[in-house]
Formats: sequence, C-alpha cells, structure tokens
Amino acid sequence: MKKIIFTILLFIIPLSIHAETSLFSIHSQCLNNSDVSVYINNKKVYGFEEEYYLSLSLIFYVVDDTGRQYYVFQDNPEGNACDGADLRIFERINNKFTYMDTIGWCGPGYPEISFNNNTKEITVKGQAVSRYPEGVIIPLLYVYKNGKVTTIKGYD
Amino acid sequence: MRIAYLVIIITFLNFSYLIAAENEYVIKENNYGVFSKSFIDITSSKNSSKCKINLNNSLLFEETCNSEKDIKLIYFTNFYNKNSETIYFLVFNINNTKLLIMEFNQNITKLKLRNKSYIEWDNSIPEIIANNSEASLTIKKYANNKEVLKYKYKNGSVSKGN
Repeated sequence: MKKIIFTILLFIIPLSIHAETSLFSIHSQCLNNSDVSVYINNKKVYGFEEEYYLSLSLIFYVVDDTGRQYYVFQDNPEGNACDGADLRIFERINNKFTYMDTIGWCGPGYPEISFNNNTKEITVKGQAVSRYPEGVIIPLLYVYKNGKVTTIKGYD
Repeated sequence: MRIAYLVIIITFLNFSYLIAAENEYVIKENNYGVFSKSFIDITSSKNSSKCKINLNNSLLFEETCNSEKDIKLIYFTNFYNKNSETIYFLVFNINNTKLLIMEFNQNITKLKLRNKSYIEWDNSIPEIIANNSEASLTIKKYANNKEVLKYKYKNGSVSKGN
C-alpha cells in the first residue's frame, strides 16, 4: 500500500509544480478532409462539413477594452484556386463564442487586418484579381462592425 | 532507493522541460486526406515571483508577476510577407506596464522565434496595424479618442513617432 501511495505521489508532486493557467487555447481540426471544428480550451465551439477542406487558420485575434474578443479564421480548401479563402469572423464575450459574418475571399496574398478600439471596427484590406478585364489587380476594403461586414464602395 | 527514484523522475521531468524550451514551437499536424490540426495553447505558471509563459508546451518567455493573469495576450496575427515567408506576431500586455512584441516565422509545422521587443505601456488597448509586405507593426495609443503616441516595430527594433 505504501508503495502505491509513494508511486502516486511521485507523479502528482511534479505535476503540481508545473500547474498552469490557460491564457489562450484554440485548436482547429479537420477530419477526413470534410469535418471542420474549432475548439476553445478543448471545448468545441464551432463546426461545419465541407468536402476537400483542411483545418481553419486563425489569422487574427484581438481583445478590446471591454474584454470582448474578436477572431478571424481563414478557410483552407484544398487546391490552389485561391491563395487563402473566405474569412470567418467570430466574437467571444463572457465565454460565449459566436459566429458573426463571413468575408468572401479569394485574393492573392493575405489580408491586412486591423482593429480600432474606439470604433470597435475591424478593417480588412486586400486585393483581388479581376476576370474582366482579365488579370487586373483591384484593391479590396471591408469594414466589420456590430456583427456585420460592409464592403466599402469604390473598392468592390 | 525511494529517494533515488524521486531524484531520477524529477530530473527527467525537468530535462524534458529543458528540451522543450527551445525557440521552436510546433503548431500544426497534417496527415493529408485524413486529419489536419492547427493549435495554439498559451499557458502561464507561477513559481515564486516569476511567471513562465509557454506556447504549445515550450517556454516562450519569463516575467516577474504577481499573478499568472497579469500577463495577457492582446493581439495575434499571421500573414505572408513580400519574401513569401509566413510571419506570426504575438503581442502581450505584461503587468499593465509594457507590451512584449514577439515575431515568428513559420517553417511548415513549426514557429521559430525571430525577434522580440518591449514598449513601455499601461492598461490601455493599442491599435495595432500590420503591414504585411514589410512585416512591420504600427502601434498607436489613444486618449479621449485622440492619437497620443505611435510606435513602429520592424525586425526587432521599435521607433517612436514614425
């Protein structure tokens, strides 16, 4: 009995020395190239099914002065039609993680994303290649505010 | 004999910890057609007056702190720069006294720490604007909706007012 207790203590003591508090924990995974899920602190908070996908990439995260968190994930469909696909925007407040809106994206290169704490706006800048006339690079600008994405006129 | 067991196990655990404490952090697992996973786990553990911050079980940095929660991740982004490298930025607020900017580049499934810099700060939320092509950050401080300070971070250096 003493040996069993001693053995248990051997494992518990070092574990307690390395006890950790999570500051940020996010996972995205995809099973069988179709079952996509997002986890926060190992709890599933979002998922969808789409064929020929890889896990979503977290490309932007920020927290505002009220503690509200903003996340932007980029879709990763297989193939090379887009250099990074749609941008899914989420908010997290009081541990509730909510999908808010999506920006349709198929740009060459990554978007440039910034957040203004005063206005609580996320600005997303990028580029697209036009079909007509073919191959012309056009600038893109989106603003996300109050749960909705707006395309700024003159850029679409 | 029991003491010897204890010493061996504690030594082994600490040695494993040291092996993990390099400037590389595994963030992806891929088995194409079956499984893909991206993960970011940032944890804080306090020992005496120091907080150890880990990224995916490897040491990221250590700072003096009163509580594990005095260190907060406030900003994260990643993108391609003009050299087609994937760059990651993490920005932490430390004890409401400074910001720590950490720049990584991604090598397939791993992040490698490239540079880091500190900026004196308080508890306010900065506006951080990334310039993808030159892999720089502009960090602005506001008071009463007015910009009062501006820093530019690039390649581990911080300049004021650019």
